Amino acid sequence: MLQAIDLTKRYEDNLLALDHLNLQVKEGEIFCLLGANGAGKTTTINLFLNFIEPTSGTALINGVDVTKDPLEAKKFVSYVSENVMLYGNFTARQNLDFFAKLGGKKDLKKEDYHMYMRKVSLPEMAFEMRLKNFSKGMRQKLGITIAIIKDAPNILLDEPTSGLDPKAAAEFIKILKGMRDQDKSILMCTHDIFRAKEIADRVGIMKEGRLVMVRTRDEFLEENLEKIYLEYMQEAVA
Amino acid sequence: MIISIALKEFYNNLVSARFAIGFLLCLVLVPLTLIVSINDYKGKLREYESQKKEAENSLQVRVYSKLHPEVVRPLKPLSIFTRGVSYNVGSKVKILLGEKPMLSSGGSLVRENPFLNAFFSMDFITILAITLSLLALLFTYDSCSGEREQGTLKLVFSNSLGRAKFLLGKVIGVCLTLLPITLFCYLLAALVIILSPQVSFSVMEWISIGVLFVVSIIFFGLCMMVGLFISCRLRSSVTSIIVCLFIWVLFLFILPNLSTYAARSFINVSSREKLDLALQEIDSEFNSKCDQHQKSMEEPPYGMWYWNYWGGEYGDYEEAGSPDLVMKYHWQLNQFTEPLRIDYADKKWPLQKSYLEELDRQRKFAERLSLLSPSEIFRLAASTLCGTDVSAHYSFLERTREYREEFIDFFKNKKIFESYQYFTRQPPENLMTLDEIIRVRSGGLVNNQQELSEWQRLNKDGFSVLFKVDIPGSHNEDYEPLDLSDMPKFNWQQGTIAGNLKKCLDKIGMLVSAGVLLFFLSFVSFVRYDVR
Repeated sequence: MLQAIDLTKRYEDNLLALDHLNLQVKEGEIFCLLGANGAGKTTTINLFLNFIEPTSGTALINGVDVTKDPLEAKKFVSYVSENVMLYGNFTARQNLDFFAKLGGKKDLKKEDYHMYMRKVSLPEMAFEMRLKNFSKGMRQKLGITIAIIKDAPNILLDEPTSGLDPKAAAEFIKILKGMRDQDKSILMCTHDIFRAKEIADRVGIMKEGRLVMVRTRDEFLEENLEKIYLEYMQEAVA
Repeated sequence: MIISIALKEFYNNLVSARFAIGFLLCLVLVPLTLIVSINDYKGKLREYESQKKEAENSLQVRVYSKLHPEVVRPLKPLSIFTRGVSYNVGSKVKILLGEKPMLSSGGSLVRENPFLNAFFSMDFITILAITLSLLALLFTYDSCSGEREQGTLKLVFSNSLGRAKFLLGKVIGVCLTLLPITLFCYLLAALVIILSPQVSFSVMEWISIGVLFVVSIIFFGLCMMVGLFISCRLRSSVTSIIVCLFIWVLFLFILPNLSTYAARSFINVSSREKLDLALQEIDSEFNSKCDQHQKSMEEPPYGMWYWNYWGGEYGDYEEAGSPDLVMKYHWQLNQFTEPLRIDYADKKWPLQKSYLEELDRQRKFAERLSLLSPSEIFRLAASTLCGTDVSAHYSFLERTREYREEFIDFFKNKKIFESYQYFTRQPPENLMTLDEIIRVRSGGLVNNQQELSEWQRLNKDGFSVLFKVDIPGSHNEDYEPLDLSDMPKFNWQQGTIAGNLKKCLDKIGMLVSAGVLLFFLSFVSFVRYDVR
């Protein structure tokens, strides 16, 4: 479970990036954070990963305070970024092997990695191919494979489908649904309202560092999410 | 986890172009450098052999006053690896009664064609210092900044991984990369040496090379830490490489040159001419004392009448065939002048010593300043290990001074100054009076000095009448060289591996401490490093 309690981040230049965020992503739930650029979505992810320290408030992963015990907290989380960047000189399998070991999975064999890559529909010929020859879609799939291998109960995704072609994005979403079915708590930051609508169990809209609205799946389907989102964005412009 | 990161780093470096270039660079540079160094060593060996022959010849004397043994510092085969000062300070010392050995003589000339000396060549350790430091910096300059730019740092630290572990893994990874390159350099060097028939290394020398290898690892370890620290301080790998290259040039080229320049600028050393003038003054005092004494002595009634006399530049002379009173005069004079010559050498020594101390102060200043550069620390430690450093040369010079004392003791114990053998090989009992010499040499034509003068006046001739009959044993050449089997031999115990290692422990300690400190600073910087 992912939990933010009054999570606030003010940068050195006095910019308030996150303002008392209260959020909870339950097991088996996909929570999509929507918002414009600079709304605080990525800051939230960075705070959960302890890449930056909160000005106040707490980020909890499976009940572990990320600031107080980051190494323990990170055992329970996987991360997939907007641009999954891996080691270009390594093959897909070598990259998986390295990150699997970092994630605590030490006994996996070549066949296991191949099996995982098949699971995310990576073409066979890519298994032993160097990463520098991978397309963005293939890299994103490999990124999610790393998350699958780590098998952490929580997953943080930062714009994971941005720049993917529709087919690749659809495949990606399918994988995420599979992970939700395994009771993972998934927090996904995105601009892509259509993907959010397709996959999210709950949606939150962020504006100027604040979580201004949260809707359950039933609510946003009923209320027309696109309309709500645009209304909030227009308010922001106004 | 540390091992995973280390192996990842190692493999990543292994397939990189910089590894291939580094390997290729060593493959070309190391044998080339060693071949040139071995060639230079051979030249130096030739010079050493000829100096040794000259030293042996210096013992082929007939009288003790002409005995000025020459001692030559043996050439270290390890100078192939690092020359230190050994090729530049000379290796020959003449042992004189009238002067304590100050500096060695002998040129720095290595090549048969002296004009080839205009082209500089570097020894193995210098090449290693240049390439290893460059490679270490090239492999570490983007350790953190590069991964941040690539975006992999975020993914790595989304896992339960401590920053110290990450850094340690990186360090081990780069070590694993540079270790084969360094080992390859040393193996290649060993191969070139084994294949060179003119060079033979003893077991001790091979062990020294082993120790040198370990010191090289410590050195590249420190260079790695410099790169790592810069990488942890900067966010852009382009800036990192620029800073690294600047530091590399600073350490390898600017600081060593600056240190000698600063030493010459800030530490004044009085000129050698000034010292020579002061020494000449003391010599003049000595000469005037000798003159005074000479004046107080009673000359033979017929004046100083020589038959066969050779004088030399250090107050040495050899005499034969002269009348007994002349010989006695010299015998008495020597007993005064030669101990006085030794006393005056002692009187000159404080001036020489203070000059040497000034030189050493200047050298120490330059050395201390150059210790700011890890490559200089490495080179100094390497030359100490190979016995080609200044302290080894100092110990040689100190030993020559001790040897001079032994040499003087030998003279004193044998009462050489009180002996006629100091200047003549003619046995005192065989010495003849002047009249006897005149009578025998003229074949009885003239019987004494008076008759000789008369004959010279009548015949308007010089001394041709004295060449009618030769007196055996009245020529210096009639005698064999002295038997010097009982003379103390010069021996100089060169530093042992343990001794040399002990001498450079401070420098190795500096490399290690600087490395540990930089790792700590890298860690402190990296803890605050924004991985985004």
